[in-house]
Amino acid sequence: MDTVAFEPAAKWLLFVHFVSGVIVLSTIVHLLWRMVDYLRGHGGQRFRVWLHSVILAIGYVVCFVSGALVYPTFRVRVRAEFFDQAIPWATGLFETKEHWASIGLPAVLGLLLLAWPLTQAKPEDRRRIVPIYIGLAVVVLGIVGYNVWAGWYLSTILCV
Amino acid sequence: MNRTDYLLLITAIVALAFAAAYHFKPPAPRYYPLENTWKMENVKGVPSMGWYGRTAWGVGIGAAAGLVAAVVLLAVPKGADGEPRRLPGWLISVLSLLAVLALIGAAGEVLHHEFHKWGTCGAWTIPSR
Repeated sequence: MDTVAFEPAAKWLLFVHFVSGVIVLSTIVHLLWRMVDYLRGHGGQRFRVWLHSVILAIGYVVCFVSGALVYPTFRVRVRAEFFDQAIPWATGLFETKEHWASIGLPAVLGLLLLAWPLTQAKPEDRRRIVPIYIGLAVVVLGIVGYNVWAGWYLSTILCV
Repeated sequence: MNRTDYLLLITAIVALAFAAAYHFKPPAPRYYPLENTWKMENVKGVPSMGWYGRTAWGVGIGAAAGLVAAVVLLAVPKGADGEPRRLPGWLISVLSLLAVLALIGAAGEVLHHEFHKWGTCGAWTIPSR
């Protein structure tokens, strides 16, 4: 049987991908929660918003790269050998997941870039970026929420 | 330029450029995992992956647009009052909305295409073992 790139490390990469995915999901939820607190007048949450933006960016990159490295193994051993032939609808779920992960990259970068003025700039400047910040955070939440669900669901199809 | 507006403009430009690149899908090599090679053509019946190329284009064009914007905006002179220039509020709102909608639009386009291509809109039956 031909070995696919990174296949010997696939299970470890998948584990890293799973753990970082959980971290990313919890971080984006916390980030949005801190934004809600900040908008309700709790200015002290600004630092936590910045902190969660940094953790989100690091976690997202780790999740993205580990997923990119395990993808060749998935493409051959799971998608080509099972999904495409028996349950093509599952391929649709996964294809959406991978592209949404890419689309999340500029949103996560935006949250990281704008976290600085959100915490350091004058109040009148901070107000100007709140709408785009919340918009990008909601986009990331939607992407990560779907990706975590789809990844979990596709992994459990053959479990029981 | 005011630093907050500067970062917001770059964020919006990167998001718009990335979404455009993802929508127009410039030609990119596909990775063939069983052969461990890259080819421009999509050979039917052989597993291949176009995601790497499409993502690379998105990241590349987004990064290039962001870098150009970062350099060009640094050259914006201060206003007559000696203060860094600030964008009008309405322009901030429009750019913010466009950036977010561009990413949502790209995601929606992908979902529509993939769900219809693979029958994900239909029944999710799992064959018994």
